[in-house]
Amino acid sequence: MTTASLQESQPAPEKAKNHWPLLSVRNLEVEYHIRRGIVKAVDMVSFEIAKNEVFGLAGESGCGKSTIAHSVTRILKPPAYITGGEIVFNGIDILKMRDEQLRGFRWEHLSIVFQSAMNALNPVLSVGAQIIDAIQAHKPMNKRAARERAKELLRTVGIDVKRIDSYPHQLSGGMRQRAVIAIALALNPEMIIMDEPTTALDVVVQKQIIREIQELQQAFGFSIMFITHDLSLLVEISDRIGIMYAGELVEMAPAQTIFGNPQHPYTFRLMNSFPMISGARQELFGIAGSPPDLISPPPGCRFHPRCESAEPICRETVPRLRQIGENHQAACHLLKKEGDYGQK
Amino acid sequence: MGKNNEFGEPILETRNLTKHFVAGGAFSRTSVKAVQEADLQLYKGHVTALVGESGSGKSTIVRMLAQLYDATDGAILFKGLDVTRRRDDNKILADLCLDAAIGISIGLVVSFFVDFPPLLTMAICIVLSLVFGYMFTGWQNYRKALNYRRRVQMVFQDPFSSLNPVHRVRHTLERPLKIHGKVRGRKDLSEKVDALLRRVSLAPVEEFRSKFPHQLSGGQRQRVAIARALAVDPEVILADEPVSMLDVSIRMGILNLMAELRDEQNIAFLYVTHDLASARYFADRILVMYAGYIVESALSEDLTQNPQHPYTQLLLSAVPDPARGLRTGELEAVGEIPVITVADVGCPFAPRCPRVMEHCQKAMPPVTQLDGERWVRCYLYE
Amino acid sequence: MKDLVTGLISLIEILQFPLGIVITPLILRHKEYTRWVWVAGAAAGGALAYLGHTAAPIGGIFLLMVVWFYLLNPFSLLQNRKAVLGIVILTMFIVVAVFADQIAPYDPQQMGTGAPHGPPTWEDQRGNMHIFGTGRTGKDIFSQTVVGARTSLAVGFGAGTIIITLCIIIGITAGYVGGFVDEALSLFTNIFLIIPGLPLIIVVAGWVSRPGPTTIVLVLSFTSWAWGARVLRSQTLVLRNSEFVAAARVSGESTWRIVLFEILPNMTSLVVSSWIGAVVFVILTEATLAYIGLGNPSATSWGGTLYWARNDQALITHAWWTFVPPGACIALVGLSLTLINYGIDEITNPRLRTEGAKAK
Repeated sequence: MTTASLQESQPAPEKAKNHWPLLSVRNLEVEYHIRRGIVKAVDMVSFEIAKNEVFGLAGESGCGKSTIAHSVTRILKPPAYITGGEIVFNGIDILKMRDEQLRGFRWEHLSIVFQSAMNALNPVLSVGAQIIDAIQAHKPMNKRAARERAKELLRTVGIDVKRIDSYPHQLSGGMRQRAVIAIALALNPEMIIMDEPTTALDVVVQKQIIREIQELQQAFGFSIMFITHDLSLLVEISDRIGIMYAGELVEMAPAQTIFGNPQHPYTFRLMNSFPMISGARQELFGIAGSPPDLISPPPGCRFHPRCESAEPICRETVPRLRQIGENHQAACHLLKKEGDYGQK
Repeated sequence: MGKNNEFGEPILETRNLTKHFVAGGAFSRTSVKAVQEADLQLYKGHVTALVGESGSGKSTIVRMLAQLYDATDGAILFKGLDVTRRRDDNKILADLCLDAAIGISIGLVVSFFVDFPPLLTMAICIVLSLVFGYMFTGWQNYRKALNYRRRVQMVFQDPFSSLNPVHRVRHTLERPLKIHGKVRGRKDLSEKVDALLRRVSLAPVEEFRSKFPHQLSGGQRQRVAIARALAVDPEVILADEPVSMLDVSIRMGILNLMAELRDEQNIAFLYVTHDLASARYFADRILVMYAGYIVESALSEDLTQNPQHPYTQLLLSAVPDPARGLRTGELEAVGEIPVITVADVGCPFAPRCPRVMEHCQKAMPPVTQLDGERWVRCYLYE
Repeated sequence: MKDLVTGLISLIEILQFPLGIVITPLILRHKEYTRWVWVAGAAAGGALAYLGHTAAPIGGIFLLMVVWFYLLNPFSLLQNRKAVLGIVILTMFIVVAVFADQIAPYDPQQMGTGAPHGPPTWEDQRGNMHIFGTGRTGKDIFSQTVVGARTSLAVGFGAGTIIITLCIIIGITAGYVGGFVDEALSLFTNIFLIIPGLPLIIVVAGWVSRPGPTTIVLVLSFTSWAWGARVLRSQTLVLRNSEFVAAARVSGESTWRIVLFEILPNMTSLVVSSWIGAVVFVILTEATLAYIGLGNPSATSWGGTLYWARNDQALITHAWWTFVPPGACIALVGLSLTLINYGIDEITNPRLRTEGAKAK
């Protein structure tokens, strides 16, 4: 357990579009209870997503981003437990909901596109049947209406309506991904969580899908929580980005700020790990070491063993997210307010 | 990031390399053209990148270079010597007949001395002769391949499945050393293993020696895989998407390690990837593959800053580039890579090409040499 | 021809023990505890020779140890409760089988040790102890059960081991080499799969001049390996395409080394559960054969005891003690082996573990 952790008061809510946070996550804590010990997978994470906003959640494997997605949709299963914090969607406390309420809530207000969605499709059901399944599970309607809705959705995502009875293996990778997005859109949710939706796709198909997601988002006005490890992709499509490391949110700012002026040492080094396709060629180094064991994470700042600028305070006290600039928050002791760390 | 521009003689090259896979059941067999007329060269101390999306054939070429597949046509040359693996049906038949003849003769002789029914003796002798003949041929092929494997090594894409989960790191590294006779005694073996671990920055060596793959992180496993490839002192290393399955912050470490090895030991690298950005960073030259054909070849800086082939241009426009600004970039072509079968003719990119012309569908464009080190296969430049 | 086969059988009997002593260290030679295995095997063999048994059980148990130490981590097995229970029961039987001559109070084949069909008693009229009672001819059931254990276990382990060896050689070769060799071996396997086992066993057992336990072992082995070979072949096909096999080939490993040291160790739980399945099958079949009268009636085995029980109208005379002990022993041995099987499954496949939650 950490020695002294400063309970910083939460920063004032982001002045995002429309000023009203659609999703508000405060001090979320999630633990996995395994034989070896307790894994603190998410530690005091707070962020907000406004209406019509694309929020990117970036981080490497094991940082907790998928866990957050599963927590928000309440699909965590033991040995994972939400042990603290609150999640409020449109004024409704999600953590207090019971199963029947959740069923009505899910898909109509909040839906999710899973990682490796192509494999999440049932190989023995046609895509039409799966869309209809999703509709009937959350907001039952008569069969004809459901089928009409399915056709409409396929048209929306750009799949030929004649393929409503095709099986997943008859569709290409890109089309399967679009089918999964169609399922997520079925009940016109206010927010869609997308967990690595394009990771398994080739770069050209990825670009097409991303483009289509952007168009859909403009047309229907839903918010997106976009989770991926590909930071360059996130910078292209997100309004705001949150960077996660070892279960903590270490930096949060608009996309261009993260790209142009990363303040947290991890973000800075991470940006420095992506080779650029244009611009000057530079020496890149990546980050030495590996992510910490979350059963016994390093004391104080979890990144300090790999940080070149670590100071004694970093070993003792856990830094919490705080304002360091307009629209810019980071969790690092070395940053003064209106930060001045790091040269590019 | 390369050294000088004087490439010299290629150490490993392919000429017109072609690979067709037979697919389909008993009634509708087709031939899938996985690799077509591939010409590539690898040079000592240089990195050549092979870039393509899934289905382009890049993994097939690598496996042919590693002698895991035989070639349907064309040749692979190592320092000028033809080392292609081919399935020679005539030779197989000839060997079979020879073995049968030997079996019959021995059977005739033996049946004079033994009390068994002669037919049974003959049958047993023939079967045994065939079995031993088969094993002998296998052994001969193995010895031939061993020589090649001493010089050309491979690093695989998935760091977990490329290490045997039941063997410790020490065992995985000892095997190549023993197979190629690079050690004298147990102490020498142990020292060489430690040296390899140190070279790939897996220290303290005592700790890593006895670990199982599942106790290592992805980046550490990949370092073990590189150490295994280095064990034989290879002259060429084929890296099949070595960093695609690793975390972003770890990738650079691995690529930098390979760059060091290239500089120190003058190893020729083939870097297969779907990520153009890392190819630009790490490689001296890039070859772009589409549906089995190499469609463009150029120095990496030239290719990424000034692409000529329409497919290369498409690829470049699709790569996320934050520096270009938010939400920009037009995609001129849509769709995915097709599977090319025997029945298809013409340029495989034609159906998607924004600048397609009449004769693109009729025949595959030939290689057009542009200035200096570049060539393309496209009628636009003929 | 018949003499040749009979002679071969005798040869195998003689060679079992030395073969086991030689083969085991060859396979284990890179392990640190090879010397200890040598010593343990030699000591066990010596002890048994001193006690006057044939070395048949030793072959099987030796190979059991090989399997255990080479393919598994023996210590993790001991942490699994099911496996420990199975091991305890099995060890009890093995100890009884080994020291049968010391434990059995009477010669199992000696008639008239007590009253005909005498119920279990501490002391009968003549002052003799018959814990499990006596049969119709006065033979002591307890002695029969104890000595019968030796036959059953020896035949079970021996045949089971031979079966699994055949399965490994044929199944893995067919799966790995592929092509024509695979077609040929699969054809061969399928033929043996189709041939009905029991009739074949009966025919061969009747044909060979001395249907002793070794004959039964060999006959059972050569007729029951087909199923396991198929299973191992499928798993080999899967493993053949894994990247570490390709990596081994690129490193320059030879085919036989890849099969033995890269592929086989990854099929641990499959091989061991096939082995256990084979042992259970053999024990039951051997009992069946003896029960229907195909064994040597003067040899002592659980099946033989059951045979005599049926012959002597045990049910009608309410002499339950003549068939319950051997039947229960067969069931217990089967149970213990199955428990060990579950334990091994749980160890090699973490998802089956019920002890302790699994992390995401």
